[in-house]
Amino acid sequence: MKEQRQKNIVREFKKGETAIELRGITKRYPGGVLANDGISLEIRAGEIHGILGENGAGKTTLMRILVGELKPDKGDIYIGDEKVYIRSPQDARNLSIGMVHQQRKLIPKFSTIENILLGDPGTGILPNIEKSKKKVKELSEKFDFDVDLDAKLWQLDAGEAQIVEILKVLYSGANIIIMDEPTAGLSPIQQEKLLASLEKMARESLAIVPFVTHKLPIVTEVCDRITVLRNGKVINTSDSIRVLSKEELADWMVGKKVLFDFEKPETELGSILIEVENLSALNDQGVPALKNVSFSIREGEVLGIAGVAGNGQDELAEVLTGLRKPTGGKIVFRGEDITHASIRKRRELGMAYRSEDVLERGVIGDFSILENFVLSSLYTQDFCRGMLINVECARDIAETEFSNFDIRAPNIYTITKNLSGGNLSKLILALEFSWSSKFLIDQLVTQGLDVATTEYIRKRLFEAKKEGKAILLFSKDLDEILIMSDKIAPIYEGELGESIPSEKTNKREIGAAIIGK
Amino acid sequence: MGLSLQRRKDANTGTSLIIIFIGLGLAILSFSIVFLIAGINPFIGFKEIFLGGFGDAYVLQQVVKDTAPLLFVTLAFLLPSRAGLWNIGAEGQFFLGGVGATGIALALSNQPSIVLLPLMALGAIVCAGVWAFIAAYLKAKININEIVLTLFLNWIALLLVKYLTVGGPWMNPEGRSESKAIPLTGRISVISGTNIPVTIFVAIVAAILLYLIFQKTRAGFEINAYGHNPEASVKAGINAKKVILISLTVGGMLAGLGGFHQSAGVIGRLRYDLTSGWGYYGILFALLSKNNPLWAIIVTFLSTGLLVSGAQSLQYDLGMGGGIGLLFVGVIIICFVIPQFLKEYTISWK
Repeated sequence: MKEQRQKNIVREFKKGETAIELRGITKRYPGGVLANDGISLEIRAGEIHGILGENGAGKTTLMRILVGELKPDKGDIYIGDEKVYIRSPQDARNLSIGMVHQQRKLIPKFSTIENILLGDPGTGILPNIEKSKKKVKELSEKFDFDVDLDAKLWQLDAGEAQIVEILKVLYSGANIIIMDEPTAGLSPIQQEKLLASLEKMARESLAIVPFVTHKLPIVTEVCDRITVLRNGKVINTSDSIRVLSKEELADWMVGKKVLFDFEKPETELGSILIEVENLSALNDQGVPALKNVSFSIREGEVLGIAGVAGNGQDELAEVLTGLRKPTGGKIVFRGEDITHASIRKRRELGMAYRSEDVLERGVIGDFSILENFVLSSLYTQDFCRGMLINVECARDIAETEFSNFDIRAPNIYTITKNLSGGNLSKLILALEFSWSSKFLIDQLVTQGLDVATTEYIRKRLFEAKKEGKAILLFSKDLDEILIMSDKIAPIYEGELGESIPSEKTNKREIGAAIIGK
Repeated sequence: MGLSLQRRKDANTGTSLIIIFIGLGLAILSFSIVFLIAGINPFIGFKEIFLGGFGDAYVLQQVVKDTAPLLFVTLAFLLPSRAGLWNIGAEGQFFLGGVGATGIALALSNQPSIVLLPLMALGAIVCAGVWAFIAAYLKAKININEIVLTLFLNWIALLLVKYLTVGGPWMNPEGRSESKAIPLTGRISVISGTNIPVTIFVAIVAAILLYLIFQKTRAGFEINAYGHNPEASVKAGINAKKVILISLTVGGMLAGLGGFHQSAGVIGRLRYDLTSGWGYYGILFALLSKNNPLWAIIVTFLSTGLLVSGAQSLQYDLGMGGGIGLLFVGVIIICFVIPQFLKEYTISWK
């Protein structure tokens, strides 16, 4: 491989022409995992080409190779007829490859336009903000983006922040745009707008390459072609995605038939387990984020809270679990007023919590899997009580859940930070499912998980329901909420609507309620 | 184009030994350079360090005697450090230990040893504990940075000692800048045939206890967990305030025992040079022992010999500068931290 820097190739593609071609890309990690196994792909200008695959299929590796964060062991990349080398993100930029990250890499205190200019080589020492604004405005109009260029980034919602990322990539002149889970964290309306804009971009002869695990039906709807990855190999590339059923797609991705809609078990509802009255709380900025929220959940009942991110879900979950102090209201759990009780007390009473930001709050990366089980068992399991504890105390439960959740690691003594993203998500679930809680608060049940794991988690949740646990579910995925919940309450700007039995409502109704209509 | 870091996937125990050797090699090399700059033959320099640390029975006795207070301050940093907190205040807490011990001794000077000594130890623990608790409380309640707090408290502690001993209520009327002597009933007994106070055993037992606490107890697990990821620990029900208050305060108490040892076992009174920078040495020794209390015993003993006592003899016998000991501690840390880092990461030029 020649070691000089990749020279700049700037070229306009004609629609339908091959924009970038991969031939036999292979990548093996130290430790032996074959992440990409001879992947060949052709991406054309003017198409939306979805790369689909479950966790561990090799999507992330392929993405990182395309943007120059990883070098392939074998295989070639061609742009036009020319063989190119992407050895660094700078090389990728020189080749007009742009990446829209799932975890947005933006600075909250900067304005939209500053974020767009940041890091762009053309910005120079003295940025000409007005000139750049004009260019960004043209781009926005062309693709129907609607975002205030002078607003600070923290003022924007998830959908707008996503648009800023895309504008940033477009502004830098990229014509091959790689997107990691483009619709993650967006409301249905935001998703629709985004996808419409992507279609417009494709019409302008840009190549759009979304990498997708979840929200399959929505994203594949706009794809011209899809490529399915499984175990690091290309399973299928299809031109006719619009006629594919989602069952068929899932089949390709997991390699076996999976159940998509399975029956919610009929359970006898018990007595009221948790009752919340007029709960209010502030967010981190000191602004009221939760306004007089009231609800109750019975034993064996699932309450789904539907809403677009940032409407008070996090604050509600945190107030319930004791991570945030309420400014008013009352929480009664199993007959006890726990409004001001410690987190420990709540856990001892049987309140389990799976938070959204799993990696920061869910586990201790430097600890082994086993030690993380000890942590979650500290106040919840009999075997880890008392002054003296031995980490082996949680071994049985750790071994059991380790195999139940199919966590891919050598053993339970593996250091947690060495697990892959998907396996970490599974571990967090396993941690909170491992003890006999009475009440489970679950934020975004299946976000970022593959089909098989999603199915397993839903099964576990339904089992919990059958055992008489009460479950509070937060999700932006309306299909999921409808499948999982006995009753559904929409949340909008900190106000919780009335709980409606899920058989008496539908997607359209809830969809309208969560955007305040 | 530039340096790039990558985490190694294959860090294993085999490399650990190599790292110790690389670290030692680097340290010897850098020390040699320092000696050459000072115009000293490195071989003579190293011989001087070794003889100054472990050369004869007398020197060895001095080193063991100084290991006790240094081990206390090392543990004083180590314990809060496991909870992710930086106790820079061992120096001040050490002084407060001296204040507590001397204060009790002067107030109850007519009591027999059996009553007086335990009360003095208690006085040292309480005073030093309160000193650390001030920082711990402000950290736990309103999240004021503990590094700044403990550091500032060191200066206040030093001024308090100066106030008490230089013209203050405890001043020795015959002496200059020191307190009245602690009565003989308030002196810590020495190991027979030496001048080493028996508190050395207390320090070693404290280190072993700390080790057992981290290995076997719930409290130790909680402190460790909190140190590695406060958010995940709090979510699991661990009381953050309790962890902060306990680890910093107990850390302070350990430093206080060092002050007790030094005032009641070695000097026999309170003086403003009760410790001269030992509290800061403790930070470095704890880092060198990678926060393992058992390693801390060995590391503190060796470092006290080579880097405190040995370096001192470089100063006295070879006329090198007074800061030479601290310079060597710093060099050693860099020499061991860099290979440690390279064990987990590789650096390449791209």
